[in-house]
Amino acid sequence: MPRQFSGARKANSIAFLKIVQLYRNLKHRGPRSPGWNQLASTWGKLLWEGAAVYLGWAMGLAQPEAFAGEPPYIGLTTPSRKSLSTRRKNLVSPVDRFPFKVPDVVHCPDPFRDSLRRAVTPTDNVTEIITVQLLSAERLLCLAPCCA
Amino acid sequence: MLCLTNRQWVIVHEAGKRALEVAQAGFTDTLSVELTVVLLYGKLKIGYAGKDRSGSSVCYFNTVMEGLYAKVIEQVLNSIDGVWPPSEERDKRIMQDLKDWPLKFRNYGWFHLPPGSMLFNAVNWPTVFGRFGREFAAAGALFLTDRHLMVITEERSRSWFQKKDDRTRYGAIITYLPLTRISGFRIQERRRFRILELEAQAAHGAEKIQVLFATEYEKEITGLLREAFQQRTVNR
Repeated sequence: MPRQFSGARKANSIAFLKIVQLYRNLKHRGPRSPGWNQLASTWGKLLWEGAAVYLGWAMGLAQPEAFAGEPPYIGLTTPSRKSLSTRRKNLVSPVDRFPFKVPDVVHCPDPFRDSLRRAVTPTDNVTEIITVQLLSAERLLCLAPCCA
Repeated sequence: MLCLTNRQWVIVHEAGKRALEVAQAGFTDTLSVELTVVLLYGKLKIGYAGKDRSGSSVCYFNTVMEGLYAKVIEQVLNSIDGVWPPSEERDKRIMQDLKDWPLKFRNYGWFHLPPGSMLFNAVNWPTVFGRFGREFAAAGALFLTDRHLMVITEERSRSWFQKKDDRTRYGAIITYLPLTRISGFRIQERRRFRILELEAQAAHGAEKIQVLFATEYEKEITGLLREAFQQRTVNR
């Protein structure tokens, strides 16, 4: 079966062949001919494309073992431009990202429990507690301009 | 985290790596409730004016579980008006009387008008565009019920120029103002659009809410607001 290449990889191999061809031609012309400029720009293009392909490959493979094979959840994560470590942190179970009800103050998740205990007086009759564990305002605010 | 009790609401959220911010206010100090829904992005904002502090507090959520927050909004609105037990019945006139409306605003009206409230009047206006497709005012709608004024607007575009094909908006911002809180309104004139300034007031403070709309709808909106004030005096 012939090996399948993605668009970017195919472009890279073509660029590489072009460079080889150019180098062979330039061997007999000397270092300062206009061909050298062309060679330099092709090399630059190749480098950029190579970096982009490598980055995409690294991002695609950078999933923790527990979620290997699953597509990364991008529901409320900030898209793109994040470092590899931040991306790893974002790859958590989608269930934790959804709001859920808590029956009472005692069952609240850890960072909020004490603050809520202080805010709610004993005379208060708690009717509803909704919590979201993994959302932080900053991360969502990053997404807001993309949508709005 | 959002917590509701019989006399107040509390919002606790992370303000930094290890810092928590707590905002709380009684229902008597609550001025308005705003819900933003854009695809999966959800935001609930509650405006308040208390003795010690005033402003608004926000919590963000995934709209997959929007139903939880819709119930919270109903509870907050019922607690502000002191309605107990709340009615679950929705006014079907939205679907019958607003047949000619754009489907988006009719559906949003149906889903977000608080159950138990009767629809009296409603106005819908389109987006106001300037030259080169610049957006001045987003499309929106104003609903008057026996207990609330509900404003639904599309999210405003941030770009200066827009392509004709790229004018679809997927979300809406829904603002609830209890009639008992509205103390006045003013319409500011601009060349291509109008700005409606609604003032909500509680015992310890007030806030202003601005709504941009198309010039042609000024008469209808003024009429609706006058009706709202009449209804407010009836409720009292």
